[in-house]
Amino acid sequence: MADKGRIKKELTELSRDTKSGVTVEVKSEDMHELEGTISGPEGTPYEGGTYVITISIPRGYPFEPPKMKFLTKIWHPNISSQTGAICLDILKDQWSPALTIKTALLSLQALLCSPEPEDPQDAQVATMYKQDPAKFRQTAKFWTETYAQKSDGESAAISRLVEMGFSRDRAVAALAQAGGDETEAVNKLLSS
Amino acid sequence: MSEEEEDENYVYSDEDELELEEEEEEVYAPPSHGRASEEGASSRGSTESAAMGGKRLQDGTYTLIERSEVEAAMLAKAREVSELLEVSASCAEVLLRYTGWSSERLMEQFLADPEKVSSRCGVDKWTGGCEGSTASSLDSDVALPPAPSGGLTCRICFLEVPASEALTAPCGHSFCGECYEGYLANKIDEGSSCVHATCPEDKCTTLVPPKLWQRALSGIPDKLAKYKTFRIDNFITFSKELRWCPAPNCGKVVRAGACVASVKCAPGGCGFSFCMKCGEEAHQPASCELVQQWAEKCQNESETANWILANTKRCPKCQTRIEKNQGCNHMSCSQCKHEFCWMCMGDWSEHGASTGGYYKCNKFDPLKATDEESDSARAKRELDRYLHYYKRYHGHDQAQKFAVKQLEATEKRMVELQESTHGSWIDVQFLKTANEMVIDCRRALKSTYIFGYYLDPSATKQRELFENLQEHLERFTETLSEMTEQPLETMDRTEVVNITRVTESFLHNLISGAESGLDVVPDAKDPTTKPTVAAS
Repeated sequence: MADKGRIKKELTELSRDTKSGVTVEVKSEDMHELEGTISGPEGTPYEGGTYVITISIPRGYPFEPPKMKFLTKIWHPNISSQTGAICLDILKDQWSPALTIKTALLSLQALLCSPEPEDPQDAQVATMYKQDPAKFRQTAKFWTETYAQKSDGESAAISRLVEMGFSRDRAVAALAQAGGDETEAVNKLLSS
Repeated sequence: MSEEEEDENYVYSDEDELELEEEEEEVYAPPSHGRASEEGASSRGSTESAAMGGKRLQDGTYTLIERSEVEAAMLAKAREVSELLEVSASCAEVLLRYTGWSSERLMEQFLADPEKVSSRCGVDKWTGGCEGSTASSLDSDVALPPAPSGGLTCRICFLEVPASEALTAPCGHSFCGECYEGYLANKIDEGSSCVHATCPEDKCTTLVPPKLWQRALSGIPDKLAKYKTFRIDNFITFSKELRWCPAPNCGKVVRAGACVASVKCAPGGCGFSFCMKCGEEAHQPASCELVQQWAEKCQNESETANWILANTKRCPKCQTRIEKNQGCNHMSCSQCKHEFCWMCMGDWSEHGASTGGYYKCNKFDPLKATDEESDSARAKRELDRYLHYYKRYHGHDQAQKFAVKQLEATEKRMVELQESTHGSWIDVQFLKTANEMVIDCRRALKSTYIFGYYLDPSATKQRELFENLQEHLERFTETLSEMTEQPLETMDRTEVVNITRVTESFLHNLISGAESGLDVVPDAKDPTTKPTVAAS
């Protein structure tokens, strides 16, 4: 039942809009696979990051919600740090056909501003958010820098770890786990 | 003979005192059953059914109803509430759904804060009073506001539509008819939750009224019919007085008054007995909670139990492997002719009252417990205790299944007997009654082992009384079961009838005893010593 006319209209509208920090790109000919991006909101640990979201339009659209998932890794209580799955009511039972892909992406942006740790997707992140807000911010920021920014230059910490003889992948993973804390990352690498 | 009257109409209710001497015409149903109401037995026309829909059933009675009657009952209930609350009947239906079809709870909550309840249910913007609803339909009593006169841009398909093609919910949000159709059709596909569908507008909580459903889905009548089915299903699922018969492929609905514990899907149904509260097979004297606990326990222990309990047993005398293929526990080894009890494997001669023996099969003697006993010994003893109860539970369960199967054969035997005696159909009903009594007893006995397993071990007195009742019932059930399996030539009708009645009174004693907490000794009369039902 997916209405191509409606998707087309939505895309035209999106292409006109340059202010909201939201873009959508068509990935398949039938317009059922899309890729959206949102920019990390200012004043959050996600600021400066660009997040890619895969969007899959179901047959029942717009009566059924679009399926969305973060492709870019992100440290957020309502988004899985492993799979990018999102826990957001309007993408589930609170979806309304009067909503659009754009409004859904804007809701995701809003979710980045105000996490809902009581309804978590990633328990580990949510626990950190509640118990150690400072460490949460640090980790989220590091993930933003590591995964959500154009990799024109590696962070100095990664370079130093690589110089110490660790592979680049392992260095990145260890730093991500340690929330950007270099000493902790080194300890992790040495003990593993 | 009084059996002529019994037919299939259960006439029994808990308040009836069981007096064997009196009321020869009365036939007692298993005590767990409520009184099947008169309406249930007689065939009804559609006009009557609409009338009975609203009628309250007496406490302790129940009846089987048809789908069309369910709708009438739902309508009647909605109308009753609509008049009291001065809202439209479809609004009353929604409000009733909110409190699980309990008018009492709705009254309480609605009168305390009508606005809060209305907005919670999404009917705060609905207009239209109770006078708008007709007896036959709930579907047109909510007013729909007109669409904006100049037409609109539908917020779903983004197309311009004239006002004539738009549909507007009571909240004032308009969408084009085609999108509304798609939206509601999609909700139907999502299943029973479609009855809670709200206006498609984001964050709008106004419920789509039946009238709008009807307009939007007028082009796809089968979807519209489904919507109605879901509304009725909701009524059946959530109202306390109704329950689907849980037997596979039955689909009948039972309507029961207050205080009905378990019901039988009859007359006109499949005959399955089930609990009105939890929907499981009837399980008196055990409570719903115990049955659930037991089921979980059996699931956890089943592998151990199955490993220990083979399907066959060895004859205690000649060790030939024996498979039990008939319901009675009185076994005769085909090899050595040794007679023994399938439950305890003891000599059958110890089981009859005539030999002065004592039927001890239902008793479990915990081994003398010593304080120093090791954990493993205790665990073993606990397993033994469980197995003791499980074996007997399982035994009666199997026997019940045999008895159910036997029913078919019984029908044939009834024809045979009628032909050979040139009697009437009613004259041979006693065979069926006896067979059904065995089924009821097996089911109850099954549950007695759940009840017994969870009975407080320190309550010696209660346990003694309970086991005594259980033993009596078990003994008579065995006797009756054996009797019903006899060849027709040797069958004594009067005896079968008598034993059926006596067994029934024991069943009643057991259940009412267990229900009264085993504190009072039930009817002091012991029907064994005094077979009081006079056989004519």
